[in-house]
Amino acid sequence: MMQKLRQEDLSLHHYLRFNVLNQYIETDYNIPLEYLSDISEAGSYVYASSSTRLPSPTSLGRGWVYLDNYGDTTEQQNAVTVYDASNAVISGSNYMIDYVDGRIVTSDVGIVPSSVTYQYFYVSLVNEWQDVAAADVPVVVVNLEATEKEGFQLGGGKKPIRRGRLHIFANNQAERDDLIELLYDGIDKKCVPNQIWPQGSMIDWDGTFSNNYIYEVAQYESSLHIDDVVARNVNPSLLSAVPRIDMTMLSDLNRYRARIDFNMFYWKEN
Amino acid sequence: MAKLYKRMQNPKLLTLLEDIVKSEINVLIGNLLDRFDEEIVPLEDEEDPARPSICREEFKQFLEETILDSIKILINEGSIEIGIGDANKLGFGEELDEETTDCIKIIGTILQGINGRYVLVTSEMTGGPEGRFGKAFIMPEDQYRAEALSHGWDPHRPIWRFSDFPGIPDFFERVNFGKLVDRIIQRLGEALSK
Repeated sequence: MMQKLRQEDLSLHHYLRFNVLNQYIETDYNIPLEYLSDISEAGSYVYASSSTRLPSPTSLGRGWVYLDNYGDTTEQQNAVTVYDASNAVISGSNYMIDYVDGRIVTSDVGIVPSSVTYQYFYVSLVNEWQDVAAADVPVVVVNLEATEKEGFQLGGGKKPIRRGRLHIFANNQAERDDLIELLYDGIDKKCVPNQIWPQGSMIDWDGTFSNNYIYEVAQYESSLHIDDVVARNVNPSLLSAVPRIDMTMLSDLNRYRARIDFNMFYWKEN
Repeated sequence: MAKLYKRMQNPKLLTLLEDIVKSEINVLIGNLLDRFDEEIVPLEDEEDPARPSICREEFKQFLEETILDSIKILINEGSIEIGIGDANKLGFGEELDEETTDCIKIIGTILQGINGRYVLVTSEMTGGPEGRFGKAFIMPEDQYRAEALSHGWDPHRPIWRFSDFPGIPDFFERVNFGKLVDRIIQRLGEALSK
């Protein structure tokens, strides 16, 4: 049974991914698919996309888009299109999609995918500070780091408050500023559906869309409200001091950083 | 209220209030330094000549100066405003104020966290000036290893112990300003009733 903190974390991730950072969904067209013989077997034929885009569409915290719209509870129908060698569209009922690793899996040896057009998340969304280097910028780290549970009425009601932060790592100043503005406006005084994820998240352990996913919000609890949002740039002092004249300055993932602090809370009965 | 307002126009009382504020701020700074000792110092590399514990006194002085500079006693509005630290010198805010010391840069970077592996290059290594306008900086480890010899630095210098450290972004946030102001008002009230 998933505990409340993880349910809220997942709910916030889902909201940010599809209702805020959806403005950073990109499309990669006609990408060749390569047959992976080493992980294929009879009845399971695996094909991997070979995009040359940077950051890689399947790098940590990204992946292919698995919903057509925010609020959908069923797998996308329009975000991924698979073609055969003659460029004819292969019906979605003939394959499964691994959205995390960017792979197409067929069960019929006679169906041979050749290329794919897909939407993917340009901005990486991760939970761990340590994941940033592996993810490649732009990255947003979501961190719910402190909890306070206070009463909100006479009786047994409670108002749990999570202190959260978004750490933004961008490629340049313009990208950082855009992300700050987008994320700030996307969460400030907004409500996030308070899902309880009774059968787990939308994506299964193998990267495919979960057939068990159920949309269900918490009973006798409000939605998740976000307020006290404060955004600020972060300029690591020691990094900014690098002498520009006699040093080869490589791109650095800490150079364009920002932080957005917020409170996320809800009211619950009993 | 009007009576109190008139009394507060008295320069002696104003001085009394300022004295109370300053003494309470020492308590506040003590609390921050306790966090510094508990959450930063244990992580440092004892072999590092620029380790945070060496910077403790300078950090204390920085806090004292910047907090005292930020105090505003607004008699007309009946309020006391207190800020903490100098956000720009610590690297928070729109622009970094680089006119500060190596120690404050080191502590500011620790508080904010840094992602990835870095080597700390100090003024001692570069021959840059010490003291204010310090010239310490960090370089990504790969870059440091590639360029160290050409600058006359030890290419095997260990990575900075605070590399990949998520920082302590709430370092100043846990300070309860409400309680601080309550204590100041209480002490002022006690002084006035004598």
